[in-house]
Amino acid sequence: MEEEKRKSLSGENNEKTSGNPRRDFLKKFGLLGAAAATGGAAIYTGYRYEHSKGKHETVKVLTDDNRLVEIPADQVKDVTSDLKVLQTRGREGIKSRRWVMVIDLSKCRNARQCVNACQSAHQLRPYEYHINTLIMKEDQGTPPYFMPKPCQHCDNPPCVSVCPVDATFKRQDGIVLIDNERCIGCRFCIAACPYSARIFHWEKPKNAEANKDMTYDVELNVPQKKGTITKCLFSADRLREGELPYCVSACPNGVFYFGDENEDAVTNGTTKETVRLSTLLEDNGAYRLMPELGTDPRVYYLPPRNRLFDFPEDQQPGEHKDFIL
Amino acid sequence: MSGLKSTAQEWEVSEDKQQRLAPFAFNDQSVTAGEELYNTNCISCHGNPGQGNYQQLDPIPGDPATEKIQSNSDGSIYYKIYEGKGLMPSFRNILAPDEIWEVVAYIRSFNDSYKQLVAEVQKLENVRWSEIKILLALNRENKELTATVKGLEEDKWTPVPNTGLIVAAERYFGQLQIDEEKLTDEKGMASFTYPENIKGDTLGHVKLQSMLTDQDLFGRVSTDTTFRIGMLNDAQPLNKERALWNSNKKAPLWLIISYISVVLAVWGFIFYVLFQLRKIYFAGKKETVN
Repeated sequence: MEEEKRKSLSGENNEKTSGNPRRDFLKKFGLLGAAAATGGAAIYTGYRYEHSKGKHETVKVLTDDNRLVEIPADQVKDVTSDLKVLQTRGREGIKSRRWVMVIDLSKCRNARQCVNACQSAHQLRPYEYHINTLIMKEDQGTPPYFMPKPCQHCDNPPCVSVCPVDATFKRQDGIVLIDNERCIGCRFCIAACPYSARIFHWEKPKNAEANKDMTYDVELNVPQKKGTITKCLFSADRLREGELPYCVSACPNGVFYFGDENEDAVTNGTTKETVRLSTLLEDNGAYRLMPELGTDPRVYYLPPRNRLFDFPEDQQPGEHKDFIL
Repeated sequence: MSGLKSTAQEWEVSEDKQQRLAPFAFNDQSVTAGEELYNTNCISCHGNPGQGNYQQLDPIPGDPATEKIQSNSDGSIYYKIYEGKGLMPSFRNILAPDEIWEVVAYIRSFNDSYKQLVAEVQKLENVRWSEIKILLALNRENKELTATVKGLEEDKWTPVPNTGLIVAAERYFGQLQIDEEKLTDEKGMASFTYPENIKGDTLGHVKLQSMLTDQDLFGRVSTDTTFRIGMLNDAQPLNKERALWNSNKKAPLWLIISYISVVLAVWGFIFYVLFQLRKIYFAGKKETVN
């Protein structure tokens, strides 16, 4: 026994014990180090916890399923809407809906509230139109009238057929949108559209600098991009939230009706009165623009019968005094 | 030009409507709330009160601060905002009764000589019932919806007679009224005929809201009921069919077939030519060897 001890100390019996003192020392030192690190981390965590315990603030948050919950304020992370999510839902559209717009020409007095609301929502300059009110006169002997003209969101859209890069598309709910992340600015669609609903950004769009870091929302088409197309989107972002389009709710004269053809109901943007679409179209002799082209528009017009206003004398058909550069 | 315009100057309001009074006293708060509502709903035609910057329309909308509008009774102003006429839209579906009164309060704040008369609350106390409920029943044979209005009167549910009731179907942007407004009979019942071709959801369900119209008296009393009375919504997505404008996967078959065959034919021809050249090359080699 005495002999063995001596041997081990002198490092003669290497097989039985680790006789190498340096290796032994390193091993022990490593163990000690690990223990110290763990302990230190534990103490630090405890310290952090104690430190933050007093000033832990909570915030109330409404969850997706409408429950009000309280969570620590430092757990709150700002969610920036992901481009991919916006693109996917923008392409899919809203299920089992068929949006339809009815424009009552007898009520329009060119208040231009629809134009202004649209331009401010979509960040357009005063001379860039998604919707415009035209001064119309069919013939010499016939009276003039105002006609708001947005994109017709055709069910057989010639603009979409000609797009070479799948940038413009029609969704299941009938809306024709443009993805300016894909648009190459070839302007085939402008040439194809019989309603002149599309415009091209020749120059840097309005607020381009301010919106630089904004995530692109295909349903709002903001931020707008130089060298791409833009047009009326039926305010797809508002429809998702159950709200009427910007132009429809801005009109002070009850010109616009908007609704879902599947529900056979349209709601007036001014009076918020909901009426049956089929009855409204039938009773007023509704028509659509250029039906002979077979484009099948989703915008109906009610003829300017019993107009509610006199046509202003200073405005003549063909003249455009509607914006100041 | 139209009948509406010529009569617009004389806007008759019935005696009882004229005498209607606001259920609360106007104060700074109601004036501020009214100003906000005015700026959203009225300013585009009537302009800023007192500044006369209203739109030049026919009939002239008028500045609310002027005698023309201030000479109206509170009830008349309320009625005109509520009902609307001609160019003046009705605000019945936009502003709640209290909100209309707030707009009236704002308009009155431009009239220094105005002294408000507040409706006595007596009317509210006259209501016998402490709680009101509406039950909606379906009579499929007659295509009728029967509403029964009952009120809790000293621990007993008794019918509420002679009160206005409307039934409306829920739509995406608002309520679509079914039939007209009906008065309940002495049993507290009223029947509404629903149209056969009303549109429902994918199962034909229609969500109906029955509501008492006299909100001054009862407050907002309504009940939601869902019945399977609508036509099935079996409309397909608008981009389901194959079409020239649809995505690549939904392109017309003739287009896919003709496109692929043209591509194959062109490549086939190129390869055929190359193959022939190769044949010529080897044939030429053989000749020289022999």
